[in-house]
Amino acid sequence: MPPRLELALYDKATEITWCPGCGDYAIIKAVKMALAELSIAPHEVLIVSGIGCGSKLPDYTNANGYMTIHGRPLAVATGAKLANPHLRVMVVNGDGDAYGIGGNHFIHAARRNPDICHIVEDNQIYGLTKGQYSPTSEHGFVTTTSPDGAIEMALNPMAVALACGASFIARSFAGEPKHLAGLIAQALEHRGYALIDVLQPCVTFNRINTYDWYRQRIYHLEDEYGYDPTDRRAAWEKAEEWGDRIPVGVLYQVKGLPTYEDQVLALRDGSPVSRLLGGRLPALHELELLKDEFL
Amino acid sequence: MNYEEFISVIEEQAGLTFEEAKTTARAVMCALAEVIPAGQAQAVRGYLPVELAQFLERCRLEPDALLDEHTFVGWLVSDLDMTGRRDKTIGGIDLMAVYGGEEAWRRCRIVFAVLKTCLDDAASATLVSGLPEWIGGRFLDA
Repeated sequence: MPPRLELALYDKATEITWCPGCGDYAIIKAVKMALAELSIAPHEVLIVSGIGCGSKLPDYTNANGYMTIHGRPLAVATGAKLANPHLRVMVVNGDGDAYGIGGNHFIHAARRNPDICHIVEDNQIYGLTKGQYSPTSEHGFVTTTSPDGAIEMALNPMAVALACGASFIARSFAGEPKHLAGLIAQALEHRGYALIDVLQPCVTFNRINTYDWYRQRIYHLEDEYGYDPTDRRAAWEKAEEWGDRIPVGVLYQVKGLPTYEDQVLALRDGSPVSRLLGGRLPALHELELLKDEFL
Repeated sequence: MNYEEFISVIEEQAGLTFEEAKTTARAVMCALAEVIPAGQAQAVRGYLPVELAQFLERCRLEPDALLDEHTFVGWLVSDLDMTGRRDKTIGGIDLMAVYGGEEAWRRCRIVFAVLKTCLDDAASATLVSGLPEWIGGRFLDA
């Protein structure tokens, strides 16, 4: 077992512009902790994001990062994973990016099962654009774009993921970063699409779903006697549980399913990054020159 | 010191209304409940008005070791007004969030100061011994 890495390895000097108290602080810490615990070095991981407050996370992390256009990180992440299956690929985006404009990619990523860890920073609002209701905002939620209350019923990402065949479905709370770090580590170890919906307060624009609101409602599935995350029927019940009691932890996991990359015929001759260049192996000095071009 | 006196001192020192002072005290106690181990909480609850001590019943045996000041202040800013008027340029609402953290810590410092007056030296030391350094220092400096 390789030694655990230092947390500071993933730190960057970039000034963080999240609001004081934002749940994203806990999420980035949990991501770093999970990577450190699993000894995944910065160059061995790619974090892909979209657009939003939470999507700034790759910019604040010393690791490979790729900020895409709104809603598209899963598509880009899937491409990256196909190009280099040995790279650990993560997607980090908000509920608007993931479940709104990115909803189609979400559905099909769950169905395809690429080996990607998907963390959704779910604060039930569009924060970066200053307070519009999102797909996970509750019915009746009053915002600048829903002055009479949101008309739509909130999307249930746990149920959608389960319906689409996701092989790892979990939920956590930004007020419990250690628990979240543990789930992220499990998700990274899982072979296949792993969704973690992180309930996080938006301290500026969502004054309903606050830290206190979540604290009064969440309970841990790990502490529930007899709960079996491989039981699909039980997972359905938990996926639909919301309101006075909100379960966090691993709702559902099935191991051993082939990933998307496992089944792509074009990869049978090796991944694109491992293919011979010009019919020969590059000399060591040529590889070093290539690396220098990108540093 | 009873609850009303506790809140009145915060009201006066922080320049808040009585209701704002109550909200602030509640927020600080809830935030402390996230970082104080249950053992230390049990030792100090008896020194506090019951209306405040009740929040420490939430304390866990072992608080989350990854909690830091960034998340702690989140409990405090949730009750602050972080937005202003409608933005007249691109729409949405003007933000005052950038100032929210400073105001939250200012109010927290005042609540800590009043809390300290409720505790004797031994109780104060017990409390600080269980707090992470990043918040214990703020408690001592209040």
